[in-house]
Amino acid sequence: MTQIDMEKFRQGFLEEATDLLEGANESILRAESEGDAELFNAVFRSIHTIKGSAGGFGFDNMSEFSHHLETLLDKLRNNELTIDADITDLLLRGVDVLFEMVEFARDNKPYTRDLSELIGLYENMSGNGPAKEAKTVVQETKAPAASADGRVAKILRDNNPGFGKTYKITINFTDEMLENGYDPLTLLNNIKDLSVFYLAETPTDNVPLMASYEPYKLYLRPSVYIISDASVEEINDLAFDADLMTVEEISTDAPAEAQTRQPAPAEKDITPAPHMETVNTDGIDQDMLVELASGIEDYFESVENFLIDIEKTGEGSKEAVDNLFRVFHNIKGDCGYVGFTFLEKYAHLVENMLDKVRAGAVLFDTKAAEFILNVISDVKKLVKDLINKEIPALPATYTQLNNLKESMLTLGEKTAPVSGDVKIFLSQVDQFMEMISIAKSSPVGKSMLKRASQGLHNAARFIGFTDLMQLASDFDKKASVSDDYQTELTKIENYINGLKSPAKKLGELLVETGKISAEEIEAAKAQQKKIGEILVDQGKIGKEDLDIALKKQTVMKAMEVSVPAQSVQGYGAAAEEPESKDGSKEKFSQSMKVDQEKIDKFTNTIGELTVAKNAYEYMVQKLIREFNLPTSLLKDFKDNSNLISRISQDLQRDIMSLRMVPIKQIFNKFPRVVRDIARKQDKQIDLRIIGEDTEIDKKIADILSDPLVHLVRNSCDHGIEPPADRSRASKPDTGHLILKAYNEGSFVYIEVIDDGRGIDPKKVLAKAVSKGLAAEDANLTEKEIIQFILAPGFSTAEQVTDISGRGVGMDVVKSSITSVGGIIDVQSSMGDGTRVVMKIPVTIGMSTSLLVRMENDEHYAFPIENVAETIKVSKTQVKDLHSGKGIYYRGNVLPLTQLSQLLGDGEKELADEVNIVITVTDAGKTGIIVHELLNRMDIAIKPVPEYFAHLNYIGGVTILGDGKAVLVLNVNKLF
Amino acid sequence: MGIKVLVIDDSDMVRHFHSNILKSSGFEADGAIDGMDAMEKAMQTNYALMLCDLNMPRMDGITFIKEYRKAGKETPIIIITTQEELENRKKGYESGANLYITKPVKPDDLILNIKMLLGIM
Repeated sequence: MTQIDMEKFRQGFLEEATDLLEGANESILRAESEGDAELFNAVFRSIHTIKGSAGGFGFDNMSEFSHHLETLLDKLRNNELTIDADITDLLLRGVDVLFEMVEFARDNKPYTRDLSELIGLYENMSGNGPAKEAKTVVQETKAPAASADGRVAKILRDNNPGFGKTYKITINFTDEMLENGYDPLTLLNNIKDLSVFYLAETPTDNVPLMASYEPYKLYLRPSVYIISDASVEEINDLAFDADLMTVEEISTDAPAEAQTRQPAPAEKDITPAPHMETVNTDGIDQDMLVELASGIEDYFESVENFLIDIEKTGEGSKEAVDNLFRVFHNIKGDCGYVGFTFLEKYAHLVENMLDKVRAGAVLFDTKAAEFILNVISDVKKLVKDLINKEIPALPATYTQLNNLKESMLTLGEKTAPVSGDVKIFLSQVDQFMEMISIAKSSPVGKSMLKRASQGLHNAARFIGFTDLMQLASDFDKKASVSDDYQTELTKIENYINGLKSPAKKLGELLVETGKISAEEIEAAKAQQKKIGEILVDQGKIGKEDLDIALKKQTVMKAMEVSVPAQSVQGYGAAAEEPESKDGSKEKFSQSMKVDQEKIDKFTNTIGELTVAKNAYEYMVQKLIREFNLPTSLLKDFKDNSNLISRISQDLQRDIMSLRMVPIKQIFNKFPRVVRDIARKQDKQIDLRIIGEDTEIDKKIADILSDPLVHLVRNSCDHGIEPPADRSRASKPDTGHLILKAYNEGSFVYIEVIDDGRGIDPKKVLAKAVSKGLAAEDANLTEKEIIQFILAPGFSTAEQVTDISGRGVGMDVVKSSITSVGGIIDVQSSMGDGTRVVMKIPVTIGMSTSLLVRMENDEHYAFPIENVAETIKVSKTQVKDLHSGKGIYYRGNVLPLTQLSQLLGDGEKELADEVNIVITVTDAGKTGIIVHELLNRMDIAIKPVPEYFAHLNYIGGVTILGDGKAVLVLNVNKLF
Repeated sequence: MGIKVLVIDDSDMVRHFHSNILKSSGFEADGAIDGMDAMEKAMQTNYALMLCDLNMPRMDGITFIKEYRKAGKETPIIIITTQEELENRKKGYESGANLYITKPVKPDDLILNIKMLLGIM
């Protein structure tokens, strides 16, 4: 079983690698033209991912080769190397090699190509980059700290509360430590908690731009100055290793006026510490202030009662907290309006705190109520002072709040319910389950099972799930005596899956334990108290059961947040790659890969539904015609028939939209193709892609891919001239190539346009004549001549280059296009360029067709794209021309042929009224005489059965509503 | 608490760190520089748990764990390594490790993992 899984992952990796490489290809090309280092970062990440995963799947050569590529990319993204055409070539070659390796891996073939030359080139390139950076970092860190001494000393003096000692702390963390998970931030936070005053001088000069930022490099190495009454030892204890920091007591005495300035009692000090806002009273309008004051007064009145209640009962209702929040929010808004920034910030701080309460991270208790009451008096006093034109003192609550703000941030994390344990618990549980699944196929399975169940048991004990502990013990007992432990395992699996399902209501969890029933829960709910408490009160469940249920609920809630991340990153460690930044993950979650076969099958089924729907319609018609049924019944039938037809149409439309892919998918590779040719031939070609979002059936897209490459190559190779030729023809040096896609009706038009030398009709004609495709004296228009290039075995290039022009080109293109029911047209003008237009049905499988009937009651269908119009003329209008029949039609002679003749059934006597289908084919317009024109309908075209395959004038088969099989004609091949 | 943990890692820094983390959470910690050293120490002292690196000179982690288990010892062993691939994890489990943690591991997480594996609060 594990074997199969591995294979699936392998395939998954290969697919992902292909995607990544395609992205890399594009980024490299863009980087060459835009020189954006961020792009190299993207490529670097892609290659890095491949390197990492490839090794894991045993594709060592891929991993090793990626490493060389990665080294070069690293230099590029750090700007140690500058991109040029040669490097781009090397990078692209590298990507190609990886592509090839992926292909080989997919076919399970070993990759044997010798890469030493390429690797040598990489090493040469990479070796050039000077590794200066590391040195400069070290030098810069020291300088600012020394020069800032005087200023730092002043700040420290100004903030001295009159007690405690002043320390300078140097943090000695290294990159290696950060890499191993030891972030100095935790230590800094601890130091801060211990301090009365905390100042971090952080030189940021050596922090690089995002582009060359390395996640495991420690860029910030602050010098920390604190004032604290703790001793050196106490501070040293904060770190688990004394070597991690150096603590020294320092003196901040300024030479002269130090003594007089030093004692600065907090209450008189209106100028707050530098990191705090001053009570800025500038620009406050006195009138407005009075208004503001009365407003604030009103707000406070409305909440004071709540607060006093809270203070008494020690419990803040949600309503009370919400009201408080609203009041401070309003004050904030009003102050902002009046321009009273100090109070605005003050209110904002209160608001923040209340927000934590609302989020459940902080408990709103008596103390908090008391605090808010103090805030209210402070604010009132502040406003009153201002109205009396006194300079207000900095309120004590403001300072408290400001300090609180910092710890609040960490507080939020800590109180977020047991998230640390939950994360570890879940990752351990996953590992134990993994062990169990591996154990089945392992020779040492028994002891693995033992360890896993032991681990599960202990983890469950730690988190407090006594029921899981029991399950684990049961499993252990069973597994130690027999291999038939599936029942026990399933129980554990169910339990864990239960944890991973969305958070449930407490009641549901309790019902699941089987200790109480759903009815009891309902009854408890009706009593409007906390459900758990009631049930404990009534003795229905024990306190323990409730605790377990509560914990489970917590785990479930935590799972909702952590599961997506976990499943992507695997086990244990937290995120390490900045991968998710580029949003690629998001994109993946929005789409889903489905086997094309499944979609095809679904399309077929819907095709059959269309047939059945047509049959139903036919039967309803028959009922109406042949039986004298009551009108009401007929109406019901008709209504139902309409309904079914609407639903099937919807279904059809939906399945078609599923099959649609943006044409971008095939257009994407062309920048590379064009660039390579241009570079090889020293041409300058500007490729412009228009309408890449146009959608097209995936299957058609796949078929079109190769012909398009061919056309584009032709344009670059034969069409666009080298710069010298171009300037001689007074054209700009840079040639232009346009790839354009757009929708028209149920067709997609794709155009390949270049401004190259165009096609020379004389050469084409000469060649056509020499190949026996045209008579020497034939009187042909230029346009007609150019169409010869679509004929099999035709190539005008004098030199067969290695890019295109082996003479198998255009006819293959043409047959690909016609095979999907499309039409291709070439327009060219000597010296000005060539334009190839392809008209392709948006989708295959479903098509609108014109149904005709023959004398012998056989039905045939003409694809509607081949039908220009249908006409009925009288027998007399049909003239006998020397080459056959014809009519004058819109001022031209339209040749006519009988369908029966075309199908080898001989000529038929014409009826008085002749029905003609005017068809559009490669050869122009031709009228086809049919016995009877039926209707136009949507049909599901099935491929031609094997035994019909040699009849190329049959394009497909369909089944009519009455069950009759109908051949769909391939009009181009009729003549 | 006096719970004894053996930290097996060839990097002085890592050994030093893990020991300090353990000590600051009330464990007792010893260090071993590779599988050989660990084997010697583990045979003499009864540890409650071992933290084991994979890549080490003389005797690597996997070999050590296998040999140690062969001797019939069931002391829980946590592998701490930078190799996070499933293949390696499998090797770890099969050798007889109880848990597999990838570096970097946060001090708090390390302690939690140990406590959870031992089932102590």
